[in-house]
Amino acid sequence: MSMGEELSEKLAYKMVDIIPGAATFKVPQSCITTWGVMLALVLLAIFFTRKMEIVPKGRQALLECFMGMLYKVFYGILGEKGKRFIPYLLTVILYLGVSNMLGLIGIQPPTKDMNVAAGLALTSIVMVIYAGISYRGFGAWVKHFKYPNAIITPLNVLEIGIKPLSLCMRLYGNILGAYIIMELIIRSLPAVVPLLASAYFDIFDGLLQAFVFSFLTSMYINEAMEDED
Amino acid sequence: MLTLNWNVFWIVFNLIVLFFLLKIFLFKPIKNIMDKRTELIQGEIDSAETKNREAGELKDKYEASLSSAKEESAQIVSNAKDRANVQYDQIVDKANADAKQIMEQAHKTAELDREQLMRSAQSELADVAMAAAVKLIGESVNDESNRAMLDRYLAGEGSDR
Repeated sequence: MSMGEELSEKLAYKMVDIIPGAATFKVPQSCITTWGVMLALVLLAIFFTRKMEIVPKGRQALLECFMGMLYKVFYGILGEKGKRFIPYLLTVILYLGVSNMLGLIGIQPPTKDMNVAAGLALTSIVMVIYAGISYRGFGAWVKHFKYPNAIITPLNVLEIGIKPLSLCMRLYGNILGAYIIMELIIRSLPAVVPLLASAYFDIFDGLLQAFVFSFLTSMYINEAMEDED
Repeated sequence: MLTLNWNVFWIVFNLIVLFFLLKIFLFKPIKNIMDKRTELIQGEIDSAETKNREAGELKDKYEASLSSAKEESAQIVSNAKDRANVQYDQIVDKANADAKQIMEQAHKTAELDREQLMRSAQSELADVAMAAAVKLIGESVNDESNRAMLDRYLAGEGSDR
């Protein structure tokens, strides 16, 4: 098998059985990986929140510091009025943070599947629209498309499609690109170089994309709840 | 590679499930512990404030009672002084009055003694005079009338003196 064939085999969209071996119910490969990530996150959450005390010590202090930092970032953007969207954003950033780094341990990141990126972007735009409608009321939300000027109304309407599209493509493209480049590097320069490249493409880029995705979502939500004079 | 199909909803579904799982296992415990901590710290601050206020109140009270005690003691001393003065005056007055009374009594007694002496002297003088008259006349005149006459004479004599 040539390198190109091998690579396209790896990149192909795969449906797999829920129970390996038994032809029962097929789900996408990324879905299985996502379940794994979910399980890992829940186990981590249980481990870190076990025996919580008023005075934080050890892993609890670590957890509180980490979650507090993320919370502050989103709270800084959304403020008091958008506080209720923070749990969603935390869920997204934790999921993406873990998922994007899966390349490190040789698992294909689920975000390499465009459906996953699209699904996340779809959820995010639903959140943005919900934030706008719940904050302004439906009528005012419809009217605000002609803000600041009636001429750019089509652009504002287009944004409903553009925002999730850019979110989806940015995430998907980055992770897919990183994955392909890593595969190429591993095949051509199998010593030392993949280590350095992995530090950038898997860790840095992966975490950056997780942050960018949730950060932009929070910006869109905040924008949807902005008061225009 | 570029596959977009209905499988997009798997991730939506998974995300919703993950959201609720994290809410139960991560966000809720953290929020609970943070709330508890906030409550505890707030409670500590409140109780510290209460204690501070109470201490201040106690201090004020003690200061007030101290100054009032000082005032009271001064009052007591001045009262005692007043009373002592009054008593002193009373005692002196009483002593004066007593002395005056004693003196008066003494005067009166002396006067009475003198009067008695005078009276006894008068009657003795009358007896002597009568005896002399009896001797002179030689016989006893009507004793009763003579005596009365002599007495009158002596009384007149005595008043002239």
